[in-house]
Amino acid sequence: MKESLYIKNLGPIKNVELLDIKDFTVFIGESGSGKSTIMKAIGLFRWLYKMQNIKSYLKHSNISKTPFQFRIDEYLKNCGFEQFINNKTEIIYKTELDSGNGYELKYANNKLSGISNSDLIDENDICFNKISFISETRNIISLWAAKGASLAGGYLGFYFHEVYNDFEKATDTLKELPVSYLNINFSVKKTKMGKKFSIRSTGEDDYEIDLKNSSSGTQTSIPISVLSNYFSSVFSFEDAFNRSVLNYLSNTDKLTDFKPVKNLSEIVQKAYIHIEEPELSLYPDAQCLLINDVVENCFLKNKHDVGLILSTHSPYIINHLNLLIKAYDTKKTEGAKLNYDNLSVYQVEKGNIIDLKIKNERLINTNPLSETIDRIYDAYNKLDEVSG
Amino acid sequence: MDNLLLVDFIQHYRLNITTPVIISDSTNARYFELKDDNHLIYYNKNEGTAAYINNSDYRLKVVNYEAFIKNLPQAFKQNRGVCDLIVFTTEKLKYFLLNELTDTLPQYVVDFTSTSGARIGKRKKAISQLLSTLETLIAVLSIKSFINTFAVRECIFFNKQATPPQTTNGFTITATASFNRVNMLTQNGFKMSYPDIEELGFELIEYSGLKPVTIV
Repeated sequence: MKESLYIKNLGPIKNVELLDIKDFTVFIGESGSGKSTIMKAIGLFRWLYKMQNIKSYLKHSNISKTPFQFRIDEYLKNCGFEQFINNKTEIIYKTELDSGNGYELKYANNKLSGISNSDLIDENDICFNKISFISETRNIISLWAAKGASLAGGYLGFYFHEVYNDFEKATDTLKELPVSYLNINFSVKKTKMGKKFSIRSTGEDDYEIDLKNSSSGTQTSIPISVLSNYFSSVFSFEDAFNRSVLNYLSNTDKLTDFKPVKNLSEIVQKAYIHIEEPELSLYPDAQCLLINDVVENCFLKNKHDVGLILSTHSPYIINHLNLLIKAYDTKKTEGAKLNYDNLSVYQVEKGNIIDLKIKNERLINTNPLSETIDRIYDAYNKLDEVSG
Repeated sequence: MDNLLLVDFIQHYRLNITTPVIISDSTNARYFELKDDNHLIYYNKNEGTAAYINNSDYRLKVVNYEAFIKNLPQAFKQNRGVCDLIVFTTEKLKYFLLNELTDTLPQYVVDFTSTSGARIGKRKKAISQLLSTLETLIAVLSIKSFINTFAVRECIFFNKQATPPQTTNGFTITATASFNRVNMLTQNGFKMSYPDIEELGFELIEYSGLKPVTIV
């Protein structure tokens, strides 16, 4: 399935057109440039498309009554977009399928279109996706988990609770996960008080501590490793499908009418993972090793088809992608690698995007990300000349 | 090209100027470097800020476009992006290249020790100057027709990088070279996607350091 997204006048975003969202897409840019806004808009419209698929599936399966209403204002608010929207805001998400059919969801004039009964997705094109958003607020998961009972009812924003709930589900079945880039093992123990998340050193220092007492880099990267591993391999689409579809039917006494048009095994499934600032609190070496871990989880050891988007400030991560492309091109057998053809890297600058892929080489142009270093030493040399 | 600028360009924009100036030179040397000054063409290594290898012995003309615009009325120049040089083949209409040379001379270096002030990246500035020049030129129909006769049409951004600081004891900070090592991976210029330039029939190419443009 080919996806495209067009955004106009959404907060910091003036005009952005992504004609083909690749399986691995990275946005880099200054704070406030709009990279998270783009990623959140993609996540939202992928979720809307997922819901339109479920709705279409139910309709094709003899459930005539519209199972749910799209509440776009509420979704936009969840994304933090309520102050970004104006009368000129447009977001258009399109899919093109192997069948030759295409579908469009459009937000314009403060209305969402493409979700009516006349816009149903053909039964042969129906897919079932999982959308995960690993927000930068993931660093407080361990603290929240430790104090969960006392903080019941507290609200830290839509994205925190999304990533927290996903982390909770992912750790339901997980006992231990080696995190080799930090020389630790992450373990989950079930106690009467709930789950206990611990870190045990696998390096020279022998220690075991609670996750909430570990380094800030550990606390921000563990959720990424756990969730990228979970959604790419462990996640049960069947359970999620049952929750989404069958629960609706049982709640509305429609089970007897239900004549499934297709089994889940016949439906295309994909996990979409969106990660905000993977580099948070990590030293440059660890940033690169974390990317290796995520790439291996999502594209090399994965059992499910995965789409991955990152937003980052880190020039190290973008430079590291060149190494992973080279590893792929030289057919390196061990370790992480990336196919240049399935990768996009965009610099987000003042609400527009600049494609950093070099068209006549299999490289990402990291020169724009080296400008700060040039600026520092140009200014250094200038001071030398002025004083000299 | 001289006439197109001196006559057609001036007429098209209805510029009130009696003595427009063109600084230009030409060469068929196998290797040369360029600088945006009155001399334009240099034949020794590391004298200029952009390097060319002319493998096919084409005669190449270099026009100091920035100097030409500098001499025009203020109202026309105001807020108009201007690239440094135009380079084109004269005998065979093969290459038409707009050149923007970034430099690190002290007068162009911004203070980076203060906490305030918006920083405009040299790349962004360079590309907007190339695009603006292209738009200004092709608005003149005769110049547009002339440009369209060339097979290779490129906007070239010469990305000069910081010189690594070196102490008197010979200690060198390697960060400038380390961060820019992607340039060492290929001899080619980087062909970058830039829809606004491509829509006008040009390609955006980036050369770093003194990596030469090869004319074949």
